[in-house]
Amino acid sequence: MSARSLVFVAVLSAFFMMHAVVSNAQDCVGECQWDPCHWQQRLNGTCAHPLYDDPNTYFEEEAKRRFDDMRTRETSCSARRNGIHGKPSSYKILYGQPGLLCVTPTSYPFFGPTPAIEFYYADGSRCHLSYMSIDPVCDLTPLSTKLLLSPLEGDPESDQILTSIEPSKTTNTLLVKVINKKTREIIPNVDIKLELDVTKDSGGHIHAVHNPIVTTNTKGKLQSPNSQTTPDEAIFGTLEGNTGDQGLQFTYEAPKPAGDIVITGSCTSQYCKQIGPNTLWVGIKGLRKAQPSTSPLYPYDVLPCGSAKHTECTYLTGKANSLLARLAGKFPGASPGIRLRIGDASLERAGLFDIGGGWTIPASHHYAQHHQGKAVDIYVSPILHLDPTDIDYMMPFLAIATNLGMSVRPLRLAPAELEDQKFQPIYFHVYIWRVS
Amino acid sequence: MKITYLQLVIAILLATFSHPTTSADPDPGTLMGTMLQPGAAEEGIVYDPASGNYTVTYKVPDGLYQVVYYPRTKIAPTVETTYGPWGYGRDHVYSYRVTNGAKAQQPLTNIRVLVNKVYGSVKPPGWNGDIAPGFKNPNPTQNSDVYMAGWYSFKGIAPGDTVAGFGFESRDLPGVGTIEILGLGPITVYAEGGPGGAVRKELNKLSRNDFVPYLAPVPLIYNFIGSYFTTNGAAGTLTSLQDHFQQLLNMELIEPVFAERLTKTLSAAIDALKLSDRQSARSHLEDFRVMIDEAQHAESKATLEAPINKVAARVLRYDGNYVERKL
Repeated sequence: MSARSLVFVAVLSAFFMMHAVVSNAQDCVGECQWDPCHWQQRLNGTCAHPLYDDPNTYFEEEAKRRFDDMRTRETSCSARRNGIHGKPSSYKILYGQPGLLCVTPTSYPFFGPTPAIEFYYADGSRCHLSYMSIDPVCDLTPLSTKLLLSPLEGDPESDQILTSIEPSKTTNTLLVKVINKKTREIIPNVDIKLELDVTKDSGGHIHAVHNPIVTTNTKGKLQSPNSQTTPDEAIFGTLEGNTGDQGLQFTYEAPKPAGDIVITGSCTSQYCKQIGPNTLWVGIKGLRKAQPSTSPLYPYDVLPCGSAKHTECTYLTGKANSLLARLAGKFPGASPGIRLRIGDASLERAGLFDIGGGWTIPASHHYAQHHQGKAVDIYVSPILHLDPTDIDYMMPFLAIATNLGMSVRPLRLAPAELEDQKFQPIYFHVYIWRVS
Repeated sequence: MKITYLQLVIAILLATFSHPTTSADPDPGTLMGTMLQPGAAEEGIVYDPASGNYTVTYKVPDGLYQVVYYPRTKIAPTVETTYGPWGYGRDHVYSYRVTNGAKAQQPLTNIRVLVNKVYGSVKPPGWNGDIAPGFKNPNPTQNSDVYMAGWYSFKGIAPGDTVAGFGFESRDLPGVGTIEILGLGPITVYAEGGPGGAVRKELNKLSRNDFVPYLAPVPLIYNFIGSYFTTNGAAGTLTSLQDHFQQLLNMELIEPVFAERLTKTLSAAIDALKLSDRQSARSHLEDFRVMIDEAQHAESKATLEAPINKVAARVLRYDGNYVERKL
């Protein structure tokens, strides 16, 4: 083949290649073309464009236009080509080192910070479209990369609940690992971050979740011997570390208040998406609400919650509840005409009973003992205002409660709180201390 | 000595206007405590050996309070126990006769004890009884809940008096339990919230242990020997007796070395029963009985200290004998 023939073939090939590129660009308009002018137009000076006057403004407008355009399509062309599904959820313009801005070497030289757009997808993938590129380069993350929390031994309690734990206690060892969901294989050495958050209105507390004035830890604490998190950070409910070969082991120390605590896990060194149970159920299991007795022989009432900051306040363990019913049932027989009223016991999952809703309770307050479903305040009626010097009505109550393994402490309101100094309301703080 | 007229008049006036007070009838004001000036006293609980009472000083938001806590242990109880297989279906009947000694300062008002399942509680006239389920088993080797059986009276047993007729029936055999006996004095009333922090913890501990413990035979040994005798049932009963040894060790009622000897003998009897070898089991149980008798005999020589408490020896001997007779 002669040299002329070779040149012809080369020109023909270039033509077809260019045709292919243009066709592709037409298929994905706005995504693959940065330079608004065709190189031939630039060569003959027939194309003027803001790019050449104010490139930064143009890049920003262009990036937004491309992003909006990609959002309007079902799936962007480049993403589809790269195996990414869905639409970009955000974008960012990145400016690199100054360099040649023009697409073809035949355009007149124009130097400036080289721009690029990064499109971010919900699955964690990102596509990088540099000024010099026609197609974006995509950093693909397999959709099957998942972050999974589980107990080290045994199964999670449910699809939602990772494990349950009583207030102020520490869980058995838990595990966070990054896996390929399809193969179930562990992906090693991934940097992860776990963050705790309190679910609002859980655990019977219907007041503000956070109180900046009170230093009570309401989230609990994540701990791991392999963590990079300092103790101070741990108090605020975060844990960072590397999953190593088999995942990162950690424990959770529950706070004093009960409630649902959600662990949000993320990978900091690569993309991953959290799946599986993520909630720590903090509270005491098996509590039952005290029910009023309508028995004609042994009637007793249950008073409404003494705190507007909480949903229900009369929860007790099953055994404590049955003993309470037994106590109440015995009492009318012992003191005819006198009826018991059940006051505040514990919240629906027990834990800290911050009567004022401030996530704290003074140590001196007897509500500090209402945290296990074993303590209850009992009013002796028909009249709340009883003469405390008349111990006759107290004796039967004390004798019956004593025989049921209860610790009884008669309490009265402080004189300063009383409108009528003559009558001082007495009620009984009863702690059922022998119940398992 | 000559009494002047003036002295006589003063004596009559004093006798007329003075109001007799006793420790059981204090000024109502003291029941509710008194409010102190800030800093007048330190928070805490102080025992007064002269009165046997505790002075509780505590802070609440309202101020500093001081109140007297009257312990419920100012009684002098003794308990006589009778038990045997005289009940319905040859179940065991347990009877208790309780005395409040003459030196007691309070009426004895409460008797309570943790037991295995019991029924048919009987009570003396004027007393109330209760059997409540769902309590923690005091035996660390047992997971099952136990019952709290007890009796109470608002009048109680006066100092120097004895009341019989407390009792119940149970299928189970006797072990050594702690009967908790309480008197009742003035009831302390606390200002809102009552003591907090360290004072509350100390007061909780004080009130939880505010009883006189009395060791007595109570149904604690699960009995698996029913109407139809089986060697497996007998082995189960002996295993339950063997489990009771840990409780006896915790209560320091038996020396560890002697306990080990007895449990080994019981193990041999259990193994024999599992092989349906009644003869051999009977022989081991005889050894078990003799060892206990010899230990009791050692005490009578006054040269050696018995390695086992008398109540413990009595119930162990009874239980071993009960199974031996069934073989």
